[in-house]
Amino acid sequence: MLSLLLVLLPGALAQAQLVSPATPANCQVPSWSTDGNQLAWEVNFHDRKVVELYVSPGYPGAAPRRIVPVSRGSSAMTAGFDVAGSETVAHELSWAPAALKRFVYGSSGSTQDYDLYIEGGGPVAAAPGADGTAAWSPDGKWIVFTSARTGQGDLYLIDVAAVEKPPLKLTGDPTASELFAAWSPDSQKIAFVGHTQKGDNLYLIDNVAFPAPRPVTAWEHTQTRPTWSPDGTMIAFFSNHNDINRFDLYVTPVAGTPTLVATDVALNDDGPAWTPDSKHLVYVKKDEANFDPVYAAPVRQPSQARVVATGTVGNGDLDVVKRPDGKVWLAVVAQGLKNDKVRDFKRVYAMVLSGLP
Amino acid sequence: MIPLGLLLAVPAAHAAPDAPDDPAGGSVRHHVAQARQFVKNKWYDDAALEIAAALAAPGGADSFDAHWLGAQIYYEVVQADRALVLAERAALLAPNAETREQATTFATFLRSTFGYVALTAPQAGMTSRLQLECTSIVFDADLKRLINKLALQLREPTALPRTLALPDGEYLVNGVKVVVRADTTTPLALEMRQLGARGLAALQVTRLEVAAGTSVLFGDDVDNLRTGGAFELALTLPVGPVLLGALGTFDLRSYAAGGNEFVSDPYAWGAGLRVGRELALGGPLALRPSLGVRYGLVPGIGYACDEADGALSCTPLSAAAGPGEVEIYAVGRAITPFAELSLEYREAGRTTALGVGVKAVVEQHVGTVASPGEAVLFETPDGTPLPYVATPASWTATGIRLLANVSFAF
Repeated sequence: MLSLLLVLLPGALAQAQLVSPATPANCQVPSWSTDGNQLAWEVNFHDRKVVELYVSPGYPGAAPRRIVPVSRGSSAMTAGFDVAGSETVAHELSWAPAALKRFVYGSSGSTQDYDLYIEGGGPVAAAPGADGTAAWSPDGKWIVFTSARTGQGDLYLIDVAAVEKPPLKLTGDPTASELFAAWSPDSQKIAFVGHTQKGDNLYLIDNVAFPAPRPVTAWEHTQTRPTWSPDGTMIAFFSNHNDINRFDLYVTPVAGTPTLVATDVALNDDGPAWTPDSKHLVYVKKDEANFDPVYAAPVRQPSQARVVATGTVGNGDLDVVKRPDGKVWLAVVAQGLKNDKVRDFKRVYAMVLSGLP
Repeated sequence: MIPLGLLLAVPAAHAAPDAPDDPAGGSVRHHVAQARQFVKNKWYDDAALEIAAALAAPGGADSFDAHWLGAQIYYEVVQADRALVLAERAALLAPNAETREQATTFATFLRSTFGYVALTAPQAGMTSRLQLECTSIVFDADLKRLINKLALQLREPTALPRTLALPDGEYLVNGVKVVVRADTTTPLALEMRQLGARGLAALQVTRLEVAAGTSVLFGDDVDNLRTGGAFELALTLPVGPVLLGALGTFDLRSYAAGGNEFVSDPYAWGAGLRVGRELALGGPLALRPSLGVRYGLVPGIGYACDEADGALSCTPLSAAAGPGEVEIYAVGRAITPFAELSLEYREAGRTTALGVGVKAVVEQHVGTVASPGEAVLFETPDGTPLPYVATPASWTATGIRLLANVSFAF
């Protein structure tokens, strides 16, 4: 019996465990907190055009809590005090550094105007015009976000220590929209996507104090979802400039030429997922025959990419973090386990990531 | 979810029937309508007064509108304790489930967000400007705005004791750290040095002052008076925006008599009142300009006298054609208005304060001598007094006093 157990346990640990409860809708965009103590995800009710946001401890059986924005009338006194109803969108969560124990997210609230909310508080930097894709700086001092308040989408900066003040405008190209901003680990640089009629390319602000964006890519079609390596030396992103019908995974040094890591990958909503040591990128390979498996590729030797045995099928968005137990964990949305008899909606699974190439 | 703006237009089913609209009489409905108007203009303080009137009016205690609007107004003027009471009452008076949920949720928000700091001073009734600074990060823009609003309010002279409603967090009040936790009252006793030694606080306490220095008089009628020592004892009391002082003075006077003879005279007492304002210059320095009046004695007013019919007829030395047969030196009595400028450095302790400084006083003596009076010869002070008449009996002199001052506030 004991030897049988010893054979079974490693396999059990290598298979992802279900962490989200059953819902009649697809889960998407799993996102670990910076310290790995919490896991957030969205539940997308396509039919009702509602997106719900949940946060949980990230372990099987742990009950998640739903995040609902609270809208308080302040100077508009007769608007009074209001709790957002069930028919709202809450999405695009970005975690603050662990010490702050907060996150920022976007929501349509009760007014159907997309604003940013910091957990537990009312709208931040609210103004007519949609706000979204917020990113909290690693040093906790700033939140960068995209806003349509003065145009078609410009980057703005919120001073976390003065949330009551108007945000600072970072970019204002009248011919482009700036979105998907990503902070470098030292909180000095911002990579973002500049969207124009000619296509989407990556840009870099080398110093937030003196924002002067410079292009990182100048390709056709779409280059999107930049994410920084934890050591701050590289930026990974998706691109379909080779083939408009598929997205490939690229990595570029901050000052250098992008190199291809993998082709035909699923577009991860939060951008490519780095391992904490900056050596690997974890992604979903679009391979219907093999149920869209999860891969891990060494950035320096992408040809050595290997399948991560999650035991799940129909994989989608994913995220990677180092948790308090010292292990690297993967969270991935999937339509179920290989042996599941019923696979309907995508759920969130988590597992220890080990045996990387 | 019904926007609250529409909700307030719905007649409250549970409310007691309001009296007919009568602006002069002040019905609940009128006051609530007036409060809403003030809110639209963001005149929240005025709106709060209207709500108070609404609640006090007949039927106000059962008016959902008054309580619900009042809860939000008091939240806006950063009186969360009052807002909480009104919100809870509004929840009880709510005409339907939806408004009940709103009021209950608001009350829960207030209770779970705001704590209280009970500020006290060494003496009840003291007023002070308070510096409020939030040292923890406030992630809610609305709460941050309310904190900033309260901080501005507290920069005006604030009567203590006072209870502040603040969102959960860490603060500095006049440089003293205080941690506020929701639904909890934290006492904070401000010491004297936290009220007056730094920042914008102006110290207002009773003070005992002792001063010493020099005094000099100028004028033809006092030409023979020498510069002398001056001493002063004063008690200063803050009354509203001014400082009232009662003072007693004593000068060491000497004067030239009969040529080169110098005489010292102890009859140089005085007493008076002054009123001034204290201006905090920053930190422990304070400037106090004052005006006052004193009644006192000034010895050595000289007269040249000639004997006639057994009495002395005297004229001021300054006006006499010659020295006369005898000279008398009378003790003058003077009403002395003065202007004083005091500069003080104050070191405050827990409940007392010690100050050191300097004073400069400019004064004008308007005096008389006793006339008719009696004089004795200088050489025979126990001899028979000689009657005299001084013409004129009045005299004037301008004086300057420079004093070093020590004050003790308690």
